[in-house]
Amino acid sequence: MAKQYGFYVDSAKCTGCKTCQLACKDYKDLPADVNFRRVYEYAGGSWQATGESWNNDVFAYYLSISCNHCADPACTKVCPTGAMHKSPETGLVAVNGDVCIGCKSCQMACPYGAPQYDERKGRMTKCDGCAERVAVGARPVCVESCPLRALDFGPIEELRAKYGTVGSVAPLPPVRFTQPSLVINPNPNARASGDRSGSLINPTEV
Amino acid sequence: MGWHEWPLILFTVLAQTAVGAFCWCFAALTLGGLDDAGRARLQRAMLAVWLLAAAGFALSALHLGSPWRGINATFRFLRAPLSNEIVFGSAFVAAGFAGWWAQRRGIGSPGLRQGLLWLTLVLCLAFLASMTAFYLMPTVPTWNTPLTPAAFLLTATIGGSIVAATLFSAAGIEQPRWLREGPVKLAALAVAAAVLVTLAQSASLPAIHSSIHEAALLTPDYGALMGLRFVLLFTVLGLWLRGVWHGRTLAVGTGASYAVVLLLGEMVGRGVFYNLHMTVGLR
Repeated sequence: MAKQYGFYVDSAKCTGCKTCQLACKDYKDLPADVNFRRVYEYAGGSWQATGESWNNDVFAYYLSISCNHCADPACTKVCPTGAMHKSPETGLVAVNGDVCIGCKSCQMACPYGAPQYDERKGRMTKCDGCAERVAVGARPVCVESCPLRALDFGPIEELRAKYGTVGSVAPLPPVRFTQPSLVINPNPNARASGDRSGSLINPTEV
Repeated sequence: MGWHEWPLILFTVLAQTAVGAFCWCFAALTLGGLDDAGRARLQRAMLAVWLLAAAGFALSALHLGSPWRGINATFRFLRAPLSNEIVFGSAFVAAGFAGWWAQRRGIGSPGLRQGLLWLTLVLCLAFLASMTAFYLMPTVPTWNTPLTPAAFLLTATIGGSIVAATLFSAAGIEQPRWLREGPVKLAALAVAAAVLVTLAQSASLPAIHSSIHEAALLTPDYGALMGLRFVLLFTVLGLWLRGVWHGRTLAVGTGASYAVVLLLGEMVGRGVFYNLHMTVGLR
């Protein structure tokens, strides 16, 4: 593979404003129930009595997640048509809309919810890393739109050299399942992948 | 996921039933010592198996967003389980119809038709295996367990046995005894095994969770739905066993109604299966 592009998410900076999500929705002209990028809010903790005083360990943090263009994607493996494919040049995973039959197998398999069925089109759709922008040297629209500069995009090796190698915190799955091309700067309150002390507190938004 | 997957619920239950019924008919044709007339009557009656499987496939197309290009699903044959399922499944139905047609029209030598029957068996087993393989996704912990192949095999046995018994009766096959009593006995064993599989599954669910989902909470009505399923299965099984016990021949209409209720029971179970979908991650 020539290159593997990936995303960087700074969960310490992200305020959950969802500009990325809306910029994507606007640029890709997505219907109401399809979001190529979603902002997950993971929160938990409570108050404990310590003698006469009460202290809290309440935490909340955001993770802006789109397709992670995994090195070992679950979606392409189950696709019966080959419509869901990984570009050998960029490592970006995309759907060939002329081939997809809308069987939703990729949606069943992906642990990030990246492939989504578009009722209007009768086939699957997903984040393609704004491949046409990347091809002309620009970055994906979500990255450009972030007012906190909490997102970045580039060759994953460069991102890892720059930002580290954390690819998962709760509620994301352990990286071993699909080897996501994702680097996270964990929020100071971040819990490890697999954590159950918190919960997703914006389920209807994602 | 769950009831909205109704095309897949219908497809998997009907297809697995056809697989089970064919296996019984294959056993009868190769090991049953049937006379030529009996063989011919059974092969004619087996049209029901092929119609059942074909109906399943037709219903499965309703699951697709773009059914008119459903043929694309064969593109990754030998590389993706779903492609294998579609190819082996349609070849199974095609071989079955071809065998039925050849027998009716007297096309080909008996040896050739026997060869076709064996080919149909191979396709039938490959179909069931690839259908199972599709659901063993490493990222879907509630499906990626040995209980999934067990559940599919048991549906094939339960549904297949009642359909086969009805076909044997339609073809007037009374002997040997294992064809008269075998289906109900095997179905009874399968229903008992299904109880064990269900208990094993409900015991395993609390251990399956992500940061967002708990498998045990995905189907709050798990107990009630499985209860309904087993009421349906045990009711029909009781009536069926009683008839065989008293030496009564299974009337075709009775067999067909037993089949409908047994398949409904299996469809309730399959609905629960789809409702248990969750991934190791966000969805």
